[in-house]
Amino acid sequence: MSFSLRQRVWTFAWKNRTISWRLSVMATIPLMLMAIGELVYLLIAGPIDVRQDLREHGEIVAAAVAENSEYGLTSGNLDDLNRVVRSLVLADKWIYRIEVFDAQGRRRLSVGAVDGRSDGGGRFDARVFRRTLQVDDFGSDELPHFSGEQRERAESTEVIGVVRVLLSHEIATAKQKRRLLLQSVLLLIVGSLSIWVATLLGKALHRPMDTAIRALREVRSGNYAVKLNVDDGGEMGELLGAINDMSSSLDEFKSDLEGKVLARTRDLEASRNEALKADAEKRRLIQKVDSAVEDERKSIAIEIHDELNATLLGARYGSRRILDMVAAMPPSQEGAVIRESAETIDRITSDLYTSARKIVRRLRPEVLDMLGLEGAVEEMLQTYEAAPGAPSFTFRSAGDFSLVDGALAITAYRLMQECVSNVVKHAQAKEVLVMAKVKSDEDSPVLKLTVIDDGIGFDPESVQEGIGLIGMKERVYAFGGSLQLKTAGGAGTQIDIRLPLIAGKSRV
Amino acid sequence: MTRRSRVSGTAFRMSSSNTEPHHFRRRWLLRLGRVLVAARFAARPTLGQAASQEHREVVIVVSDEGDLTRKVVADLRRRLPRAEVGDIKVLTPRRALVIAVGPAALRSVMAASVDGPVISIFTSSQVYHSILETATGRRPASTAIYAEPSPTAQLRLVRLLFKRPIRTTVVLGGRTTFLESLLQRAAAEARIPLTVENYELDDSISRILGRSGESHAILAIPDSLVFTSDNLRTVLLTTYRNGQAVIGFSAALVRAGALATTFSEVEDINAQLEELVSAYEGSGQLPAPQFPKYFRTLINEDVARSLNVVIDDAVRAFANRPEKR
Repeated sequence: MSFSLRQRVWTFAWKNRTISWRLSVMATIPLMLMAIGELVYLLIAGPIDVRQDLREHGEIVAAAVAENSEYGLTSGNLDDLNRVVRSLVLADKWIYRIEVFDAQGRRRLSVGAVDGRSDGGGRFDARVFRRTLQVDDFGSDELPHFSGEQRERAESTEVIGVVRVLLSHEIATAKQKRRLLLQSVLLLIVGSLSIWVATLLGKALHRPMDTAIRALREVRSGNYAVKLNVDDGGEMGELLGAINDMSSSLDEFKSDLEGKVLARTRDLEASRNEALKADAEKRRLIQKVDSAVEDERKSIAIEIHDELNATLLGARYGSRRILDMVAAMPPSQEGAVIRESAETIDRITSDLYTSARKIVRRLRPEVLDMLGLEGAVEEMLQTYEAAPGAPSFTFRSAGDFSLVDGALAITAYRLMQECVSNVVKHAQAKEVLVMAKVKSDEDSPVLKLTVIDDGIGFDPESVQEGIGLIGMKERVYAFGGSLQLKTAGGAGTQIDIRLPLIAGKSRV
Repeated sequence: MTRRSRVSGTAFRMSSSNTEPHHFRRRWLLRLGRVLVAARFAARPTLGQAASQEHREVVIVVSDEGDLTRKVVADLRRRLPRAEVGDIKVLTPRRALVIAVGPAALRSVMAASVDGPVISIFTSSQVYHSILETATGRRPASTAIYAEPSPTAQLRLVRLLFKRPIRTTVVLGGRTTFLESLLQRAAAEARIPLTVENYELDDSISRILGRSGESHAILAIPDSLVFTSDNLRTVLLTTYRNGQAVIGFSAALVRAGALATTFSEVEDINAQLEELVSAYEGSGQLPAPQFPKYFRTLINEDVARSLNVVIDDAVRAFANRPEKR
């Protein structure tokens, strides 16, 4: 058997067993070994015991008969002895035959069993002594005779006969079998009782262990309010007490921790609520600031458009009239200076007018009012594409853009403007796909804006967000929307903006 | 260990042992005897003085130094202060009164051909007569106080035990036939029907006891032809089976299983001896051998119960004790 197989067998047979099973085995295996040893001893010692029993019995019977034969052999009156021996043979089933011989070896008595028992149990002889009394017969001619005092006398050991006892082996053998059977049954009973007691003891020891294990499981599952009855002494009592102490300590610790967590949670919730509140206020503030900015831009644009541009147009008309008047005048040096000055004024006013229109367009894309978001974005893309080195823009739009107006339209326009501006400035892209979709098939219609370029992209983990992107997110969040940035180094950039139209209804 | 003494020639060998204490005691005994005998004979009267008018020298002759013998000697020296414990070889005054303690002492005294009278004590009647019969040479005047109980007292005891005349058998061998007439007289006095069985040479005690089945009691008289240490057990068993009471001849036999006996202690015999010596010194005549006069009774109560013999205090008190001096 290899080591690993032995280890597996050992693990299966012992390590994975319960304590009560192990205790039962520990208690019963020595008993079983003892029982086996006892049985082996009985089987080996059985024949020896039979011979020993036969020898003891035969010697006792022979000695007893010899003791009773003295009178019969001495007196010649064998009737009594014959009667005694017959009674003995009849009563004692061990005896096969009893014979009594006198000192000359003549058989004086022979009594055998008549019930068919067989011999074979051995032959046992006992000598019959003529025992003398320790009594002075007053016949000695040496020592004084005393009738009142006892004088010590030597004891005679004259042999006057022999008693021979022949035994039958049947009773001894049957007795041995009964003894073997009885002892086996006793061993079985004692073994069973021992196993039962061992099992009880094992269970008695397992019960507190089981209680301890269940308590530990409760503790493991988080129930620390475990209270065990410690009615055992010794190590088990100490273990159960330790579990009680541990569970009590854990329960106190848990309660304390829960209290701390609860307090911390309350603090965090308060902080979160504060943050959320501050965030909402911030977004409302941003939204308001944006609106104010847009309003101010619009007001400035209107002022420039209505006042400055009108003035410039008036100045330009004035310079044109001067030119027309100079042209009608005869050429002169003064006319040439006037014409040159008028042309300069006309050029300057024209440049100023063009600049004022650009400013007005930046401040307030009136195209948004005229063409709506869809047209304004398209016009913006054309403007960017016209710049030298600009990428090729592709614009796709879908949906009912009439739903997008007011602040949301301006925000969407500004978001697209920021995206395209970033692409032009940083992406080094060749192709840019811009998509604007109004999707009303959902519960709440949304405006989805997407800008995809094939530029160099960037690693969002290593590159800190710029102010522009943060401002975009804030604008989106202010309208309850979402912004997703998908990019990687060399893989281009995609920005998905989702703005709910309901939230964007409010006009600033 | 049983200690036996033997007589070799005319000298007493006190012990068969060669141990130092025994040698010492023997030397002491011999020296003391020589000194005392010499001193006594230094002042002895002239020969021819009448025996009745003088105190003869008394010499105690022993043949062993057993406890009982020493007890006998000690008691005798208390009763007879002038008595000497002597060696028979230094008994120069051959007319001294010799007290022979035991059969061996008696036989040595007889072999020494002393002139003085001899009194045998602690020797049974059968052995006493046997020694006298076998003694060679000139035999001194002798008498004896037998060791065994008096048949008369024994038959009186039978009468007291059964309180009625019961048939009693006595077995006499060749050495005790002289007691038959005495027994018959004693039985007549005690009104006891007595059957005397004579033990023949080809007889056996078992057979005789078998013939005596009708007797209620067996009076055992010590006779080595009839009763020996070897067959006493059989006798007791046989009589027990026959429901017969055995009147033994010693306390030891009663303890072994006989019903009862009269017996005499050392002091009883010595008291009787003292009286005998005194009477002899007064009359100059030795009395005939006699049985112990002073005795007491021993009863085996267990045997009595088994034989359904009711023992009363009168039986237990049956005795004849010497007067206290």
